[in-house]
Amino acid sequence: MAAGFDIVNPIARVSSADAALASPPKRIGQVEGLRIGLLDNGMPHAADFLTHLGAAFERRYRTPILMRRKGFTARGAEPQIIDEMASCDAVVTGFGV
Amino acid sequence: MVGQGFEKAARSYAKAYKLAQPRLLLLDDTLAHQGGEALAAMAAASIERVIAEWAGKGAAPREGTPSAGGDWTAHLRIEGDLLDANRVLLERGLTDGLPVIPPLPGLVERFVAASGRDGGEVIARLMPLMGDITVERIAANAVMAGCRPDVMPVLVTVVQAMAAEEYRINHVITTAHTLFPLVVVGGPIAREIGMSDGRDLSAEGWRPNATIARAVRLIMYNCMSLPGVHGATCQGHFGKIADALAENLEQSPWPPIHVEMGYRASDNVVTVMSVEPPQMVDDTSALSAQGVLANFGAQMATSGNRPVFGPTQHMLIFGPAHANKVAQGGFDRKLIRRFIYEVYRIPVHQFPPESRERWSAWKKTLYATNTMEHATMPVVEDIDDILIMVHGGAGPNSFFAPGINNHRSVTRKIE
Repeated sequence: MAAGFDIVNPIARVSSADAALASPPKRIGQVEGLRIGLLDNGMPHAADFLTHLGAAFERRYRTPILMRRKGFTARGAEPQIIDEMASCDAVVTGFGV
Repeated sequence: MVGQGFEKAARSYAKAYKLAQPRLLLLDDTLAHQGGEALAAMAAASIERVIAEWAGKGAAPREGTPSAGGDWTAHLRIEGDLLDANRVLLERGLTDGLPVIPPLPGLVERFVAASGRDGGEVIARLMPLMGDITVERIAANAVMAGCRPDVMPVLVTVVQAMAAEEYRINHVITTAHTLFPLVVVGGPIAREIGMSDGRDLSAEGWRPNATIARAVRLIMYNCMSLPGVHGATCQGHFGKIADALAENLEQSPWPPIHVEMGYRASDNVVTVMSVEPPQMVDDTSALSAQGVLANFGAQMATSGNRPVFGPTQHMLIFGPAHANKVAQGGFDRKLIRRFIYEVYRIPVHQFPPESRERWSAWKKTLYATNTMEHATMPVVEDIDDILIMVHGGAGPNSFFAPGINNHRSVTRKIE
């Protein structure tokens, strides 16, 4: 075979790759008074960790906490839960924990 | 918050969702097996890092962010020979580590033609990559896997099946769980493309099985996941490549599995199911159907595996000897399910108390009281979730292939 040849790219092209990425989220300068959402993804002990995290935020910064658990670990959260999280100023959720 | 080993996958999801700058709290461990004070300490230590991420002052990525495909080209230029092509594809994370046949344009064109479809037809866009899985991309990966062109209709249908929501491909791609797709090909096409039904031990006889399985895995790597992001499997397993089977209908006492699902025997059908590494059911002594089934039941009725915590399907792959012994005892598929569901149940007291939080809600309602410690629960939540097929040759062996909770098998007709 001659030196140098083309092969078909086996990678699927992301046709929307050129689409603009979402604007970076606003940076949060002050934590006091923030409404914090905690989304339990259902993985082992995620709820316990987030509960402790929420308690730590409440103690130190007097932040109201909204905690919810989605129905299935391997599926996106239910729309009403997403809406509730979106109403918060900042959210923590789990991935692969 | 991202568990250890999941950073690349998390960033690939962020790209798929068009998040400009994902704010990631990278944990040095997973939360599994942590409890009480350890979790409280982890949380307390994490709070300032969370605030730093929200302020845009988080730590730099520990792992490189995979390309989202903005520099994608339809062809890759290889300088050198076929060995160089293998080296380049391996270095880019586009193979399973085994040698591949480079997808030369002429070869790919033959495979596209064999599909009966246009090369540019988009079959699916699947998480986390959300790339265009075209017939041409499927063909390129099929060439790499060493397939023959006539398996293209099977591969296209597998991708269609994986697009079903209940298959949960996004979880299959990124999970630490050792899962792989079990592909069952039913109908005349299985014989037409030369698939083994488990008896033929020649390389030629198994080529379609092996290469279909391999192509499915390569398509998952290259068309559904970001290059180099192949999941975070806790324990690698070579069987994770995939598995492609056809039923041994000549020696099966029951109708084809796809007929039980409502298809005609003459329909060409693909079933894809995510399974854990199968466990062999090795019985040489049972003289009754119940004796054979006892071995299946005993392997399934365990509290030590995650699938039992939620709605799960299991696949029982009967060798012909076991299948016929069971059928001679008066068992059809329905009665096999009833026998295992009723007789082989898991004692509630075997579950450690701390694992019971993972039970389905109804299981907690039913069993999570002290008065239920002597109760037993069935191995599946729905009796019809025990799937049964016949595959293999002579010998007293079968397989139990456990599914995974909250995932469903998907069956599609080959069009």
